[in-house]
Amino acid sequence: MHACAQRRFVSKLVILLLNATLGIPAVRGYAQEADETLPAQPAKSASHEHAVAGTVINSVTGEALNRAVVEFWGPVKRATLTDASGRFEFNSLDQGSVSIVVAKPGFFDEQITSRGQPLVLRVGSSATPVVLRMIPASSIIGRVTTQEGEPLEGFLVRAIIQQNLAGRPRWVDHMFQAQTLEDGSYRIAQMPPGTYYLVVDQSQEATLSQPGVPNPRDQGYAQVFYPAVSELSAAAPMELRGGQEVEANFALTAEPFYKLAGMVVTQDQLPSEIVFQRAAGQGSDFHQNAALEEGRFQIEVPAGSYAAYGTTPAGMLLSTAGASIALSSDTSDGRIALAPLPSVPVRVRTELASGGTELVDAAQALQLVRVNLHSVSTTPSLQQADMGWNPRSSEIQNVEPGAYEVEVNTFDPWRVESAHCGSLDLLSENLTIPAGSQPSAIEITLRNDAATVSGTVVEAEGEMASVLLVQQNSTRNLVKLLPRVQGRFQFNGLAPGDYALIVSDGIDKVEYMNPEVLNPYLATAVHVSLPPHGRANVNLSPVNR
Amino acid sequence: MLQRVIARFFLIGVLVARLSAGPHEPDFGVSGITIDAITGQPLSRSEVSIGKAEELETTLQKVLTESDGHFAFTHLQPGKYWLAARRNGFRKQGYEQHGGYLSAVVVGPGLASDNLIFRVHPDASIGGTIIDGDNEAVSNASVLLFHTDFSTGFKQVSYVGEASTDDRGAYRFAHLESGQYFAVFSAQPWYGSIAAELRQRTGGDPSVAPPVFDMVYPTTYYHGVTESSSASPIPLHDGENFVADVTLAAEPVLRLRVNHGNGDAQQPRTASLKQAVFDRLIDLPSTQENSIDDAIEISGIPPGKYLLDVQSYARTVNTRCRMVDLMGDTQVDADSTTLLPSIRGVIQRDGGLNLRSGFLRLWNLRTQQVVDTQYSENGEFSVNSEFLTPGTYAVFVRNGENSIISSMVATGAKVMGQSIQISGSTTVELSIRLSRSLSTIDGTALRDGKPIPGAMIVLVPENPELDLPLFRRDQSDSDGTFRLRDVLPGRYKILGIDNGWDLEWANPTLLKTRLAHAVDEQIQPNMTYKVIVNVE
Repeated sequence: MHACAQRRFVSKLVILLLNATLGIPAVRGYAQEADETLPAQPAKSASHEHAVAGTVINSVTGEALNRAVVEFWGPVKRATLTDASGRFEFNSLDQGSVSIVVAKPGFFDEQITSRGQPLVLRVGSSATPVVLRMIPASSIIGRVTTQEGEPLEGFLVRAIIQQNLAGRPRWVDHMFQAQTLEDGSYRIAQMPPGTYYLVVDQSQEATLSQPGVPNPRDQGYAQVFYPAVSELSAAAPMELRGGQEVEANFALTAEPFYKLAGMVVTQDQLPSEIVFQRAAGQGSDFHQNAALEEGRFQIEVPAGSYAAYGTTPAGMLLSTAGASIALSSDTSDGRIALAPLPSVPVRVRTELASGGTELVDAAQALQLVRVNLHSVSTTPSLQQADMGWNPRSSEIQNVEPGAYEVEVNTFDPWRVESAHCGSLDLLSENLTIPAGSQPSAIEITLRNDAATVSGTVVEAEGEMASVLLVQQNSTRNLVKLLPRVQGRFQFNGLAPGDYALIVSDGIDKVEYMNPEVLNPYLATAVHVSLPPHGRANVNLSPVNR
Repeated sequence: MLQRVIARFFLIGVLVARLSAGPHEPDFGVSGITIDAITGQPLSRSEVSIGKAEELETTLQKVLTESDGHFAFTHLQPGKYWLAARRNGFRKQGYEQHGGYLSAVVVGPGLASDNLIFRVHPDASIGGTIIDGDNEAVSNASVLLFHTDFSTGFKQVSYVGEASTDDRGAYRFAHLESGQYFAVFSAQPWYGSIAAELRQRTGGDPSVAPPVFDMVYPTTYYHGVTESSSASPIPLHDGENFVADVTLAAEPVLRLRVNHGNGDAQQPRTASLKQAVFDRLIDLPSTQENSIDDAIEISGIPPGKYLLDVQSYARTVNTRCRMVDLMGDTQVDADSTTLLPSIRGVIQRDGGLNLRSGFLRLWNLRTQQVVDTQYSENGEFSVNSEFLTPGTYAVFVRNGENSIISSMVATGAKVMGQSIQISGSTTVELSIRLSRSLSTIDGTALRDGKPIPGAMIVLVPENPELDLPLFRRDQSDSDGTFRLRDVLPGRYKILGIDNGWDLEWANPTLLKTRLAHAVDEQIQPNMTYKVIVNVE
């Protein structure tokens, strides 16, 4: 017999890219940034006479690092390799500012990892040797098996980590991951130190459940967080120190698959496919796509409570709107009703400071605002998302039900006078989008009496500080950030009132939207009071924390 | 392994067996045990599946074997069925599978389809670690895997796949079949690109980085040599995990200056170096090309032998090539390269029926080098390749249908059966006509009057040297039957060979003695023939 569909039979060669995840390239990005942002120092009279020497060491063991690349970014761009005792030297340098980055596979530049920017040196100011520290990369290794100890191959293991994004904790996913090999082993490498959570992805590939039985039920595996839980909130954190290798094994329990067939009913166009997601705490631990043919679908999934989603050809998101599909046995007559996700209308009004309320031009007024919805959740979930809205239409479409902090921005000379949803004050209270019902409109009022605060920052050597502007409020602070300013800063579009200004290296990385995190910084803040149209000028010095 | 799939399909075409079975016929079954092909031990928890031979993508029944390896399927109608098994450590494989062929199990009155012994071959792997002379891991290296392959009818070393090394310098190829493999390592020191990038940004200023950066690794064959002729084959057995570690020795970089030709209006626009690695041409990871006043300079080259590929654009792309053997910084004139032949042409079908777009493959009869080109839906194609040197090429057309060349007309080349002979740097115009008048040969493989399953059946054209595309192959099923499809009218011999899967079945010299005992058949258009083949 001749095997036509050879793909099925010819030995499937799986080329396993052992290289798990991202490496060091971020370092080079930073280096370039520094290069562009540092002002080129005019060559002073005495030139080409300075030298910079130093060593590169392992920050954990203190050992000298052989063959690390040290790069100089400034008016002169140079690179060199360290010798066996970790030493490097650059000669014939002009006076001026340079940033130094160091690279070596398996290590991170400590300066960039911990402060987000390269070390900045003023050539000619000191002859002290520089010590560049590199953090050895960490890794997580382990095996994924069945309860019986059979290896599970091709399973994706992800290490997720929380980082602060715009002052709010957010999950960074799919950055550190690896697939299990044929013996079930995996290795996630090249990880910076930190607190990680480990998760094994689901597998849609079905195996047979029972030996010796003709055509037994298929079974498969849902997503599992380490050690053996289905939701992130119950997962155990893994603390990785520099250079550490931690072992984490998974023994997964297979779940029988059930057939679910039926049809989809919508008020709108039918999507071409829908996704079924099984609920697990605040998130989902199993999903399966189903193609729709004339509204009919057929899938095999484990038992549980499912929500379904789909996108119409016009781009409208449909969902089961809070209703769930419970599956505990083979079902052939499922009926899935999909409704559009809520849309939040936005109305913008302008007020003139010269007097009178003027509904300028509603369409034009819309163009003056940017609205961000920041999802708020008490339990951690990977699904948590932020949503930015640019006013192309008068409503924010496809909003997942949930609680949001609403951030409204506008442009000088306008400032946000108020933002309401019904009686809710959105500048201090969270907006809750209910499932399955249409939310009220967000009403924004702008006023053209914005105040401005600007000034200078006296930066310490080697620092690029960030400036935070805070208007304290009993329920939620209003916070604006200017990251890594160079000497000067300016905040526009401010409502009259009292503000605190904080200058600190690295404050852009902290959870500053959380008052408990922010409060210690406020003790050293500079306070200003701004009247309507006010223009304040302040000089700031960074606080080292 | 698309490459291999195409290679096989080029020679064998697509076969879909049509068998009919009435709805009220009695039940039949298939049963047997799965055993480890190496240890002979029964395989527990192996997943065995079955489906109709003409529907390879549809599984009818599945079962998980118990500890005795036993499997059984019932309620089957008479017909031909494929059988497949898989297990942890055993890739999915067909019953008695050899490359792209397997033995179908034939079910029906008086046919034996019980107590089958399904030998399942355990997976093998090749992995290892690459370090450099300083004992440091070489990460992000490319590892190319090749193997010795008979699927084209000749013993050939062909490409299997590629892997890269991780932060520890480790790589791995899993789920391999047993066979003879070759591993090739292509890498550059991790710091090499940093200096090159810096120099690029500073307009080639050499002072930005010391010469210690200017090191490269020559392409290295296992076990640490730079010539393919000295490469050590890896004899990989079923179930084996072969460790192929290698140490790469960094060498100082070389430069090649390609001077523009004098008075040549078609100045080279690009010049690049390629390296022949078995049946592939690879790019070097460390080289950079820079255009300077009257030349193109290629830097970052490891010492070695390369194909210099110079392209210039007039109305069409001209590809000129030469070999360079670099031991130090070198200058060559673009004029010293040779203009390669090129082919333009069109494919048509008898009766003017629509074509489907597909591939045209040229097979160098002397070097066995392959040149593939895509052709469009209106059948037009053009071939420009560093591999297209003067020589004789068998011409294959592949588009998922029965696509057999009935005739070719060429200017600038000589047509010889299914092959063309190209001499010199000419532009060949080639017109290809595909036949629709193909025949089928159904047969039974016998030895001493008994059906022989699993035998290799080869249909050999009258002129095997030039008519390589007319070869057909199949594997006999459990009742000894086979089918050869898409046979162009003409005179053929049919051979049945037991245990012949590692034979050069298209090599005319090796075939000569065997052909004396072969069945001789004159094939007319659009017919189905019945033959009996005695297996050696």
